[in-house]
Amino acid sequence: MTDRLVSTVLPLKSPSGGPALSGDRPAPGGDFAVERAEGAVRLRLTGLWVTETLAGLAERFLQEAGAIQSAAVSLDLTGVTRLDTAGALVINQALARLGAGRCRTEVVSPDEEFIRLLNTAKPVPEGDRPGPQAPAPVRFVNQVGRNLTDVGRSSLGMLSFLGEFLGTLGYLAVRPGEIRWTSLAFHMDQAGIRAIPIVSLLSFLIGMVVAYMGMNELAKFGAQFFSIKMLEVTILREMGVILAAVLVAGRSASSFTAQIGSMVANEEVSAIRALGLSPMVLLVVPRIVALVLTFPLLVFIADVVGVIGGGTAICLTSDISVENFITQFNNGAKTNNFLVGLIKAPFCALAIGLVGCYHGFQASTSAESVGFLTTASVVKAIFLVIVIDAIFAIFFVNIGL
Amino acid sequence: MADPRAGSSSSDSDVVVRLRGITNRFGTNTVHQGLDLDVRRGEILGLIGGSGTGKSVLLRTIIGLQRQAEGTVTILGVTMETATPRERAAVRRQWGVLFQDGALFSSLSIGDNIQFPLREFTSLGKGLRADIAHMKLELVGLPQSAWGKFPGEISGGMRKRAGLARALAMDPKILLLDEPTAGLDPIGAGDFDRLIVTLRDAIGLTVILVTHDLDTLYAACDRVAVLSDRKIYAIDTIPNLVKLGHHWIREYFQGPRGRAAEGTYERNQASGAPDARSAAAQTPTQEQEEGV
Ligand SMILES: Nc1ncnc2c1ncn2[C@@H]1O[C@H](COP(=O)(O)OP(=O)(O)OP(=O)(O)O)[C@@H](O)[C@H]1O
Ligand SMILES: [Mg+2]
Repeated sequence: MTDRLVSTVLPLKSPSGGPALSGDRPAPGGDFAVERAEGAVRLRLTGLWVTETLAGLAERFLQEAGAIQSAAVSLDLTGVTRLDTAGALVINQALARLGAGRCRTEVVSPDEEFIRLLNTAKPVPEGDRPGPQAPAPVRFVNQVGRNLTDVGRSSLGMLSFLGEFLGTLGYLAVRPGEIRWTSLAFHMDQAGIRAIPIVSLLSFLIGMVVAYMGMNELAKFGAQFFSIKMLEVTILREMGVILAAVLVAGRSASSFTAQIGSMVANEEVSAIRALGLSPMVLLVVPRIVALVLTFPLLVFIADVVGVIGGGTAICLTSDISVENFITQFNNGAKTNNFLVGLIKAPFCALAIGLVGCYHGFQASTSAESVGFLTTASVVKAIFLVIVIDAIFAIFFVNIGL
Repeated sequence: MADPRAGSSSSDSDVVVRLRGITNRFGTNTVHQGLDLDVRRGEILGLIGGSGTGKSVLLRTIIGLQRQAEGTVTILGVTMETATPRERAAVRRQWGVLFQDGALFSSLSIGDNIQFPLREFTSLGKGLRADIAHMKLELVGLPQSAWGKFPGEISGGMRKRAGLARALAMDPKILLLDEPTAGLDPIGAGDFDRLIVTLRDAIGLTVILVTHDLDTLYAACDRVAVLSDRKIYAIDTIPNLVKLGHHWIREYFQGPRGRAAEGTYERNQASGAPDARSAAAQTPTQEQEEGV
């Protein structure tokens, strides 16, 4: 660097950093002046050179300093009332620019504190900083690639999680003593029993809507009675299970992810592993098994209540009597439709539980990750439920059920 | 008996934080009762006391996170209870706080964490903001490679340093630290002690730190305030505190751990080994010779 002289003249203690804090007066800023005399340039700084006052000032100052073509420059800090590390940094940056132009620089300061600050607040050269971000198009391609591999990785991860889960089930089948019955019962209550009211209510309403809309349309052809058949197929075969699954995905997949995720973030899961226990046995199996056991019950309730809701709408809005509805329903109903709906239930429950627990384990130590993962797990659970439903629909139609 | 108002003799402009008659209660549990404390400009004050004596609560009271039942908090001459919101906001920018685990925003990188206060409170250009933040990173002794990392990806000690860099972002006058060296390895803790002293000397900070770390008390603190019996029982240098003959204080400093820490400190003093205070005093001069 240059042979800059750091000198301390005028050892007058300036009232820097006094307690004069006033909120009402607009804070005065800092300024500088360039004085040229016989080949030497004097940069006279005045006022406040602190973080709050640097906006604009710093750019002007650096530009001005960069433009100086002189063999000797002296920086006069005598008029500066307050300086902090940010201000000192800007002054150092200016000195570095002047120095790069092979000019001799000198700092005049009344205050030793200022000199200390100048010695402390040194700019970090660009070369020492981590590399700059890639340009936007590169970042875009990068992101697309990363998202794609993420999808692949997460699918693989979920598959291996399923494998691990099934393996643990097998292990527990051999050693039933290790099953956590209390936890299982707790989650059956939480994820199953407590979902009954909301599932019933929504199913009742959807049943009403389906029957009412269907009847309105079919009445135009004088085929009101077909609305009963339509209600049966819609609710028993599709709507009952989809409705319950979407609700449970929203309730339980999210809570599984949040519970396990915060345990991971809090290193509780590490503690479980360190104790030689398996988070699979302790956390995952009770949750997923509870869901698989109770979910068919929820679907059954959704079916029954949905049909009751539809029946209510039909009986209230048409001349079909209650007895008439029941006879018609009994005559037309096929057990098949009911079974087709119910058989999907455990698969949906498995998917919801797996997605919820799997995402919980993806949490890192940040609070934000749990939030992201909870959202992702609900969306993926609902997506999977619908995919499963579609696969079953094709399958059943093809085998003629 | 020690004078609990040992600091009140100093002149007004020299007192950066002044607490008078502070009473804090949680239900029926009175944590502080008529507590007085003066913190002088430029000192590093250690705050000690048994577990549950209310050190953290006192720190939170100073910051205004815990509203006291009675008493006044005066910071840089502004009485916080009667100040206008604008005055309070102005004072708030004059302190930096380091919470126990850094309390970094986990969704932001270290660099963005440090820039956060600058972005919120100033209209500095992007480049200068980054320059300042890089300089603060250097100041707290973190490698520049930590810039783009996220808080979850660095060690506890690095998180503390990053938290300190964020606390220093706006160049505060007062630095409040809650157990800054808890959970650090002895070398890391020693570095941190030196760092605090260096920063105090370089940028003229006033530091209030709660600690149980005897080495920190010996190496970094100018005075130590003892919280006992819901009050500041005494506030003085360690040798003077020990002379008071209070049972708990003697136990604290002259138990096996206290003596070990004192021994280390004295050995370092005698051999001229890198003691925090002398090392700090050297740093600026050395760099001055190098021509900055
Ligand atoms: N939010 C709160 N509600 C009720 N009581 C509280 C609350 N915060 C603190 N306390 C009580 O105040 C007292 C002092 O707590 P504080 O956390 O300040 O202790 P401390 O001195 O920092 O202890 P340690 O050294 O263990 O950190 C304790 O008795 C505690 O129970
Ligand atoms: Mg505490």
